Amino acid sequence: MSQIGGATGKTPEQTQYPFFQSAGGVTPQQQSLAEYDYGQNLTEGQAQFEGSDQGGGPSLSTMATQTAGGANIGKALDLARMSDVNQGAEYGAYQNAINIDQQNNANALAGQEQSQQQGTQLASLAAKAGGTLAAS
Amino acid sequence: MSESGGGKSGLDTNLQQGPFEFGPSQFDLGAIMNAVSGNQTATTNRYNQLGMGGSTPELQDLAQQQNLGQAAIGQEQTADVGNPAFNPALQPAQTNLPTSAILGADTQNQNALISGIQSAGKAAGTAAAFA
Repeated sequence: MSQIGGATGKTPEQTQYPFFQSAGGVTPQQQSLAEYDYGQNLTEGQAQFEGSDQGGGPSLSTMATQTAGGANIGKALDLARMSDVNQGAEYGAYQNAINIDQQNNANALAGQEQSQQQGTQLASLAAKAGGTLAAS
Repeated sequence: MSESGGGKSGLDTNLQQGPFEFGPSQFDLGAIMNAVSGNQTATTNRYNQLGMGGSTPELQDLAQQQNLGQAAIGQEQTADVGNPAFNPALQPAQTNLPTSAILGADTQNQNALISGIQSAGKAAGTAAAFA
């Protein structure tokens, strides 16, 4: 632990900020957007098999099942991408908060040091005055 | 910033670097696994409906879903491992008081102390001269 030495033995300590940690996540609006895109992809994909002998549309068929599977994975990846962007933004905000806190702490420290210097100067003046009195 | 997860000489001896996270975020992993699980269930249901459950070609379709999931996890792992938000090892270790502020305060304190000692010494000299 670091300490400040000097005239009054003042010892502010350096402590470490915790690291930013997140499990990830999306907002309800982003979840809704993912559901909407999922529905669009599903409808578009299944429509390709409409009228074919392989079966299509919302009816349960092998191709419809496979199409839904692809749309499911696509939705998962869309959600993951949105989550990554969200957490990147939150991490940036956390770093900004750290910088502001550090600046505030540094300013407070500078103020304390100024007070100490003024106290030291007063002590010097008192010592000078004492010496002059003793001499006279 | 610490080096190789250890400390650094000087004022920041207690700085610790964050753990290195290799995997995708919990949210990403959950979303992918949820999709894979749902796909496997839907595919199994479809083949059971057709009376083909358990036969080899259909099992390959099921395995394919698992492979898709693994690929998606790998894709997200690559994205997340380079993102400081999910990998603390990429974040700079920072203290509440920057080292520069500590050193500046040290210098100010020392200068003030030296000035005070000099003044006291002068005063003592003056007193001795007249004694």
